[in-house]
Formats: sequence, C-alpha cells, structure tokens
Amino acid sequence: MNSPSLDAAIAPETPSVTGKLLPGDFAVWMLILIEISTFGLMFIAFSGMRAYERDLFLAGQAVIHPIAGLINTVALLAASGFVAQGVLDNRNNKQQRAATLLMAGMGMASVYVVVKLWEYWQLGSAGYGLSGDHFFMAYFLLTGFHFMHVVLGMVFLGIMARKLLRKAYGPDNQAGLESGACYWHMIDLIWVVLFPIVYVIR
Amino acid sequence: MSFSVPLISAALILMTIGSYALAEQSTASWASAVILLFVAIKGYLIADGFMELRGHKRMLRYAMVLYCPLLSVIIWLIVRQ
Repeated sequence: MNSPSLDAAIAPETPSVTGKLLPGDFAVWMLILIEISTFGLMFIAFSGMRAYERDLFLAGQAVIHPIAGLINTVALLAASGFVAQGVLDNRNNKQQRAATLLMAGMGMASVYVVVKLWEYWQLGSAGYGLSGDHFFMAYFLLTGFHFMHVVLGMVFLGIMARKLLRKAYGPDNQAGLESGACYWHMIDLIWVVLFPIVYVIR
Repeated sequence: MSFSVPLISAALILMTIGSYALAEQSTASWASAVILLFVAIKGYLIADGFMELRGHKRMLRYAMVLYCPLLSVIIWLIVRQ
C-alpha cells in the first residue's frame, strides 16, 4: 500500500510555535490530558497495591485470561491503524474508503467488546466481582473504566463514518475527524499500559 | 524520518506479541523491564505516529510522548520492590 507520510498533516487548528498545526481541536487535547492523567494515577495505585499484596495479585493474575488480553490488545492496535489510515484517506479526498476503514476499526473494537464481556462473564460466573479482593476490585475498576471509553469511542467512530459517507468531512474540514481519531488513539495508548501491568508482568 | 500507518501497526502488534511471549518465558525483573521498555516505545509510536504529534514543539507533544516512558519507569520502580 502506498501510504502517505503522516508528517504531511495539514490541520486547520491552532498553529504551534514552529508553525506546524495541531491535529484536531485543542479542547479534545485537554480532555485527553485529563483522561491519561487519571488513568496514570490509577496505574500507579494498582502497581502500589501490587507491591504490598504481591501474592494476592499473582493469584488474581493466574485467574484472569492473558490470551484474552493479548487478543484485545491486537484488536485495539489494529483498530487504531485503521482509524489513522482513515484520517489520511480523508485528506486525500477518499471519503468512501476512509468511512470503510473507520467501520473496520469499529469491527476490531467489537472484537475487544465481545472478548471483554466474555471475560467478565467468566469471572462473574466463578464468583469474582468488584466486591472481591483488592486485585479484582482494581481489575474491574481499571478495565471497566477503560471499557466504557472503548464503547464511547465506537460511538464516535460510527458518527464519523456516517459523516464521511455524507461527505461532511474533507481535506478542508477535518478537525472533527482528527479529534475523534485522537480520542480513539488515547484509548489505545491507555490499553498499551494497562495490558502489561494487569495481565503480563508477574 | 516519516512514519507509515501499516508499519507502525505492525511494529506495535509485534512488540505486543513479543511482550506476551517474554512474560510466558520469564518472570524475572529484567523481563519486566524489557516489557515496560516496549510499552515506552509503543507509547511513542502512538503519540508521534498515529496522533500525528511528530514535529510539534508544544508541551502537549512532550506530555504525550513522555507519558508511557515516565509511567513505565515509575511502575518498574514500584513493581521491582
């Protein structure tokens, strides 16, 4: 695939001191900063709890499904790739293709939703829940909070795909699309940290 | 240097699978360090590549690019205790 450089971005918003323009709306970047800061504190709290209750957390990790976490990570990364390519295609006036890519991103996100719900169902059936030990309380809070962001992100992707099909976005009108895409990549960024600390590192 | 979306996606997925495989092989402290190093690189690729922050001289870009490396170091320091 002949993929154009992501550096070739020309966004209509807020120029930086070097003259390069920031993708999306500045307000969305403020929201992203608040979100990643909140998750960052939650990750540090999770790691701190793990350091104090190492055996409990290792036992909890043995119950959850790391392969499900791996599938979800790959699904979210693939979804982000589709969304990033969709933004580039919109710039090249290929709105139909961009909409298809965003819908493919939604498809990959659906894999995450299905796998996550299966995980919750499995754990719930085995008697684990928010009111369980500290590991499961932290696990459900962290992953549940992230899950809600994924569902909201999927709604945004659906709205953006619809607007692309209606040609509401184009090379000269892309701030909304870029904002939604950056929100989606933030969800990915958070999961990239969440996956190893909850599922992988022992 | 310019990024291409398929290349970034492939690198991110490969590092994820590599992290998983490494964790299956070893629970040593160095393995956690390597996994968290992958997290730092992945965060950089997402911020500079997918979010298109490369080339910006804003605090915002530094905050996004440093998010994963900084968090990885903090988590590693906590976890290795």
